[in-house]
Amino acid sequence: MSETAPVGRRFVDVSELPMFAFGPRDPIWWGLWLLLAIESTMFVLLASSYFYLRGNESTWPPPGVHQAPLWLTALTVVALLLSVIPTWWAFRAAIQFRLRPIQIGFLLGTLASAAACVTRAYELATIGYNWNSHAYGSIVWAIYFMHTFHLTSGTVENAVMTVLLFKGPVEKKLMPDIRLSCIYWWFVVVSWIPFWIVIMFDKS
Amino acid sequence: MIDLELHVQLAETWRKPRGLWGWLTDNHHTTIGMNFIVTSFVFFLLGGIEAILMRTQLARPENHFVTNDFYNQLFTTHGSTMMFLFAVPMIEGLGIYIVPLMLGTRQMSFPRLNQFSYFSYLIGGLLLYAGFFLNFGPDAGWFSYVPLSGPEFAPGKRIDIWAQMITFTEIGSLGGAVSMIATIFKHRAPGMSLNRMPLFVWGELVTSFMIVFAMPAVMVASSMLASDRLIATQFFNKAEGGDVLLWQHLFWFFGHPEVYIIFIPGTTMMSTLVSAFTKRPVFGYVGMVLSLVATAFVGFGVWVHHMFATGLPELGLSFFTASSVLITIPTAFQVFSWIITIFHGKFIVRTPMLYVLGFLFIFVMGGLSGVMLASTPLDWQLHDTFFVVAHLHYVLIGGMLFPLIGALTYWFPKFTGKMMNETLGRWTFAFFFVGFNLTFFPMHNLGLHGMPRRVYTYLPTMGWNNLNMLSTVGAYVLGVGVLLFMANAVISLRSGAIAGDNPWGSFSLEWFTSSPPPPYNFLYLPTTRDRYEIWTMADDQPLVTGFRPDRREVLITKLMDAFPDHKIETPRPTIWPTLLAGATGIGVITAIFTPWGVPLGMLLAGIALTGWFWPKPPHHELLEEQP
Ligand code: HEM
Ligand SMILES: [Cu+2]
Repeated sequence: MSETAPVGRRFVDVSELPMFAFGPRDPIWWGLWLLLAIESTMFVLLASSYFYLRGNESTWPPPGVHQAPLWLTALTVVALLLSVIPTWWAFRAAIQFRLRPIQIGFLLGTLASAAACVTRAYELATIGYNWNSHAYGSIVWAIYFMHTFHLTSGTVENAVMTVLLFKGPVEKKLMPDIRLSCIYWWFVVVSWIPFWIVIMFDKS
Repeated sequence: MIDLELHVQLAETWRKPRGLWGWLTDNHHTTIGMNFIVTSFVFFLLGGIEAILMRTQLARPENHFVTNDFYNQLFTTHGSTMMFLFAVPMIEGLGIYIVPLMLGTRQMSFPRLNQFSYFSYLIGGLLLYAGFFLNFGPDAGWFSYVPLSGPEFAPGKRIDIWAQMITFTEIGSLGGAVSMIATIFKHRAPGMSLNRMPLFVWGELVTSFMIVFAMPAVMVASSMLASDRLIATQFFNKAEGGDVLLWQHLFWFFGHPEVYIIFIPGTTMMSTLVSAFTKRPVFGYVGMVLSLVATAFVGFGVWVHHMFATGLPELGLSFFTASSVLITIPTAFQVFSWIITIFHGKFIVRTPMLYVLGFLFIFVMGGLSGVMLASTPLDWQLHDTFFVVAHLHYVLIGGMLFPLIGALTYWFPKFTGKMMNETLGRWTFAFFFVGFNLTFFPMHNLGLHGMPRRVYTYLPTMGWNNLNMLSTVGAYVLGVGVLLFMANAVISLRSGAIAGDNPWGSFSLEWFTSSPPPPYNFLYLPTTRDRYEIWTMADDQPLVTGFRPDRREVLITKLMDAFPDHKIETPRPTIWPTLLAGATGIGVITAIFTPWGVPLGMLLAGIALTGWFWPKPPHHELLEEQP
């Protein structure tokens, strides 16, 4: 069932066009990248604030600051990086419309991101200063808060997607969304690396 | 016959839910756009009443019409209302209503995001006014400088209300901007390549990009302020390594672009009106577009000119002076283009055209006083005087309000199907123009004579009496203008002349359908082959067919050349985005009092999001493999 053209007029018939598309053809792809632009701006501003505050100090971080143990923070980074591998499978399989690898990719990806959430929780519990200790504490906790917020919401999103993929029925139309979920998740991963390096290794 | 059947089916598919429930659930862009327009106009009236109260207080020296505390609340609420609750939402709302029609589509890319944005914005506005009416409205100015607004000097909850209002309205603006950009990129009628888009669409596009990069700064800043106040972070506390100038940098990194966010769509409304009433394309289309883009870029590089008086290094100041002056170049290009177009075209003087002329006059004035302030020595002298108040109103009212009132008059028939009364319209303009100049011109002189802004009264011996009285009279005249405009709207809505599809004989696609547009916008989507689509359409210009009339299908075209690419199905009315706004609302408002608001908000938002994205019964093609 479809519209019919009025008699006596030229027309462009779009009835055969597909109901979804991948990449920049898809409006949601633009929506996602704009969201990432907003989030990146936010992260860049936090980083700028960090360096701005740093510019006022001769010793940085302030004396008596103890970070979470390096190995623990590194564990979070490793879990995050590991999660990229299965989500990459899912990302590739989505455009080939192959369900199995997507399911497995998301299942493993979710496990890895959940692991990162757990180590992150320990990280937060072992940070040796508070947000109200000094400006350094405030900005580092702000960075932690922002990223942990993304980490948890991203993990929940991955988990929900996994459930949907195993429950079915799965429409073809979901495939571009799968790829966008992966991109969003990678943003969560990648955005942490520079912050991690700065927090752990930036000392004067 | 076929057309009638199609109409019936489409009308059913795109039917707008009615009543309160309809208002809460409808996501069609015309509904959301109109919600934004009406709500922001109401906030404009509230801001206007505050302005009148301020001017009444300042009419005479040593006046006791309002207290000093209330005066502080007045100018803060006025400034915040006008910037956050009126100007930006109005511009977004107008875009949300008009742009999809100009593009020849039936719906925007993310209708539920628009709906969420509107209700976030509404909650933010109500929050501000709840505080104001309970006499604990914010009182530290529209830019809430620390340390004045910090925990030490502003105890109580006033500033927290301000900070959370900001968070909310900015969420709203960002959502609207994302949806706008995606729509402009992907929903254009076949044939409307990027270089054929109406200038108004370009304006909304550039503004939306500016929102995307500017608004995060104020959200970061207001969150830092709120947490300094609520959980004793030390961002702005010098004693613990914080820095008050950090606030100013973050705020103005947003605050200056904000002015262009408001003003760029204003200029493209101008371009629209100039073309429509001279019956000519605006001279130098490419130059006009480049001017918008250039303005946006430079707009991000000048924020420090708000901080000339803070003792920054010399070289930095010269740079920011230079870039502030630079911005006059694209603006001047636009002004000359309009003048050339007006000289060469027919000159049809209808009400909207009067606002064009008013704009040209006022805006050139505002630009001139701006160039004056961009020079550092003069700014040191005039900083925080009424000269600045005069300047900013010349730019904002000249650059945005005048084109806006002109544009609302121009699009009124599209919204309502009725024309606004022409005689009343001309009177309105007269009151606006006279009242405006009477109010704000004397403020230049007051500033030069040393009257500081944000004082609730002054001594009779300062020599400021007459000019202040003059300015207050002007404000009342301007107020009458606003009342006339509203009266005209109400009268015309009831008994105005029937407009017909294209009463002004105008050029862009919003006039290619009935007024007001049917819920599905166009019976058959149009195609275009040139700029100024209606004027250049072929007699047998093809239409688009092939949508399922029982689904809300929308055509997606290619980014550059707008070639038909695929279709998407857009959502029907739903309550979830509104609930999501309510959930974040509860969280953020609780966070004024206790940090537990944050997890609470996240929890509630999680529930609302689950409802939003809960899979519907599948009705599209399934994957071959199934679990
Ligand atoms: C409609 C007529 C208006 C009148 C009579 C008016 C009047 C005033 C006055 C008297 C002040 C200065 C108060 C003081 O410093 O003591 C003021 C401040 C301000 N106005 Fe308006 N205004 C009007 C419209 C607008 C509009 C349309 C906008 C923006 C789109 C706007 C934005 C502002 C801002 C940002 C401030 C600075 C507030 C602050 O100092 O924190 N005004 N207005
Ligand atoms: Cu500025």
